[in-house]
Amino acid sequence: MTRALAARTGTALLVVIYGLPFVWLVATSLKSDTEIFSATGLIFQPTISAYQTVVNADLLRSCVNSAIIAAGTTLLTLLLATPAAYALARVKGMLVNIGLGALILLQITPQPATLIPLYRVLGGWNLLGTQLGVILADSALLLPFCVLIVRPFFLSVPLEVEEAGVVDGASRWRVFWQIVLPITLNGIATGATIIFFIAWGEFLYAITFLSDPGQYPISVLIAGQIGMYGIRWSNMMAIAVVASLPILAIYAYTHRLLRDGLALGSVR
Amino acid sequence: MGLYLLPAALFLAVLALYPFVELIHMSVSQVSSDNIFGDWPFIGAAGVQAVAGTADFREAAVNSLIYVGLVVGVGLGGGLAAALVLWRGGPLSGFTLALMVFSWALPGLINGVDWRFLLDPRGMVDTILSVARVAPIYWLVEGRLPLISVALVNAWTVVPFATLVFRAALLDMPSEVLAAAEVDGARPRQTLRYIVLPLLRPTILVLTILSLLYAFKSFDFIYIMTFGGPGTASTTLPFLSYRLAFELYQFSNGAAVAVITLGLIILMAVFYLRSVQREERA
Repeated sequence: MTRALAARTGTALLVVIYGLPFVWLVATSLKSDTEIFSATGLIFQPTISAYQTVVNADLLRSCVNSAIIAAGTTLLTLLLATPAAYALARVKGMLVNIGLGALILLQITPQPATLIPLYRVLGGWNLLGTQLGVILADSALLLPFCVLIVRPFFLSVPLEVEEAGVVDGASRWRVFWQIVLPITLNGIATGATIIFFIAWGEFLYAITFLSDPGQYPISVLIAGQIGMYGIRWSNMMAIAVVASLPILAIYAYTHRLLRDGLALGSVR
Repeated sequence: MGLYLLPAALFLAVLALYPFVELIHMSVSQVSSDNIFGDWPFIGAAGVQAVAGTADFREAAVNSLIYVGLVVGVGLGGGLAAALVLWRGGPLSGFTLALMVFSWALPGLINGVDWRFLLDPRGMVDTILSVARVAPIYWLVEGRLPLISVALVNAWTVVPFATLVFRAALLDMPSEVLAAAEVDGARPRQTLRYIVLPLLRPTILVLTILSLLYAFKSFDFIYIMTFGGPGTASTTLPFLSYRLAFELYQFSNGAAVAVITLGLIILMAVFYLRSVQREERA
């Protein structure tokens, strides 16, 4: 087999392996209950009845809740992670190693292990049952990850660039704010996108710390119904499609950024 | 520079390090639903030892090894294969990469829900197999299949990430070396074996560590696709920890499993890095 033919066959295979599951997801959301049971594959009479059932005020509110939690988490995480990542890229010595080691340790802790202690902390602050509590918990979960992703971008800024700023009489803060940040905007945007996606899909903290269904994000609607007996798949898939749309919309703008940023962030 | 670190450090100290210390505290104490909000009597390592001796723990440890092995092996193998396929561009390669990375970007929750139905007897996989007259396979029900299926779905989302990283490394490769090999009459397979793979070694090492750490703590896919079942068939260590604490309310046992899991992760990572270093020195 020639190289070109092998590459084409491989590409076609990848398109099927990664495209078909999404086609099937959308197709299932457009099926009636009877057609799901008759296993008709991709040949069927499409209907939007599942969407008519699931798209209502509650679902829209859950999307708004998701947006609040995901945007809040992204904002707070970046606010804390960006200066920390910068410092960990510029300072040298033991402290940095200890800091990075601690971040990695937190990063590898399984999420459920933190549920009970966090429950106590948030309870002590009267933040159980609030979206702010979930935002704080999500930020604590994602902050180490965010620092580790963004730090390599600061490492790649040449020191001379900053020294030039210092020579011109700019303060350390101005150098960071006006010189370093604009150069590393891609890295910060990469981190922001990933944090937003993960926070959008986070359900364990939300399901544990929230109690009022009016505050649930869409991830909790999905996670809460998935284990139920006699699940209606067309409805479930319609909710999954709705939950995917914001991610698809953001991804359409950021996929080049992610493609280039992830490779940089992970290997250094 | 301290001021740049301080906000993040304070935040993490309260909301991440303190919970971490509490987790360890809980694992060496006697904590049940009776005293979760009261005093925790100290029992030392007894709780950890007791939990590690149970059949449930052994089963979950074996399940975790299978799970991690599949995610790392299939994730990296698939990622390398895909990166080689997409390396030199060609029609659709940009679109294919974007499509793949989208499945990585989607939360595990949504991928898990999707695949839970795709692996249903009425779903995509069995429908395709039925064309070849294969009887429906109960992927999420029978024997070890649920564990393997969830691990493969998780690997399906790791492959795009590995592809990106491998692709970047391939694009960084000195083109003169590859051109020289071609001039010398090396077959593609020989180029791969003797030039490309050795040059990719550092990338493979980093990806192995990253995916190992990631797979070991993976939780979402199991929660969504099988909830550790049927029975305990797909219960891995992180899920056992969750189950002990939140289904059986054995909080200290759940914490003990989490602490042992963390210990194992660290041990594996250190052991792996050591053996890599030793090999590099030899």
